[in-house]
Amino acid sequence: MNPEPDLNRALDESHPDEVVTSSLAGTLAAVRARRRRRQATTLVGTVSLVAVALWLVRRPIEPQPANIARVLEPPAAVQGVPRIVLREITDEELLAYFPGQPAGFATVNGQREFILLPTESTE
Amino acid sequence: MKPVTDAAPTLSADPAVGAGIAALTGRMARGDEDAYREFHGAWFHRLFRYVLVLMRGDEHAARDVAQEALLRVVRRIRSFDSEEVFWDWLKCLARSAAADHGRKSTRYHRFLDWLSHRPEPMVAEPGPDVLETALTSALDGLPESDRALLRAKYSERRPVREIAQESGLTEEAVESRLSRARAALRRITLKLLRDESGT
Repeated sequence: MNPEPDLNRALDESHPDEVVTSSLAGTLAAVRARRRRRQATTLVGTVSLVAVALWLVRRPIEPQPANIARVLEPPAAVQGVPRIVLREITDEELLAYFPGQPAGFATVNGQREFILLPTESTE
Repeated sequence: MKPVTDAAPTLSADPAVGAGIAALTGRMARGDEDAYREFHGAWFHRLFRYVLVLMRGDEHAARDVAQEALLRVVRRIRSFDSEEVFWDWLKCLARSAAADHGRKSTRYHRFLDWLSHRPEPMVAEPGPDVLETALTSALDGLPESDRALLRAKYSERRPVREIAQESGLTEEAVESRLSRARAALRRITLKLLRDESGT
């Protein structure tokens, strides 16, 4: 048998109960406070994420002014080379380029073709 | 004699015990209040004894430092696989809390401390036998009747009822004597710790 008493235990039991109970109460209070802080942080984080997601979904999508300017801006002309602008014209506009001349449209081999007949002045 | 300050009766190389501390600290990390109750029941006294040595027998300061160490446990808890590593971590938190306690003292309090010859906390790892030596010396300083009573209770682990029957006292009387003997043991031990720091 151990001849010496377990002095640790004797010392432990010499402390008033209040020391242990108040320490436990303080520790548990800290645990609860930490849990509340964690829950609040999680809640704030979740609400922030949802708010950002809603804002992204619901915001009106408008083209950026800078991009519009870039699209509409004609390309810079190469120095010394005149700029050629091509555009599509209608049949009427095409015929208007040949006033007083026998011009028209005809279907040749199933395809619509522009016909310009020669005149005396062009021969 | 059992080691007092450092070696713990709960320390074990048994893997099951390691699993136990892993489960306990895991639950603590998840904020489980019951786990903290278990932890407090199993570790508080050991931590408090360690802090008593760190604070050189200043019981009031030891209470503050032990509580601060426990608050740091709550803030920084993580899962541990080994009781030994967990205890080393606890000791580290306690030493850090003791150092901060010393730093927080205002000049006024330091002046009062100087007047009352209150020593600075011991921040370095104390020797493993500091408290053991003090307790043994304190026991030697007690009257023989108190020593015999403490031996019967804490060495032979005899129930109070049996001690009472043998001595012809009531159980209440034995409890009362035990309480006084423990208080004397604590008082002398703390004085020895304080005196040792002054030497």
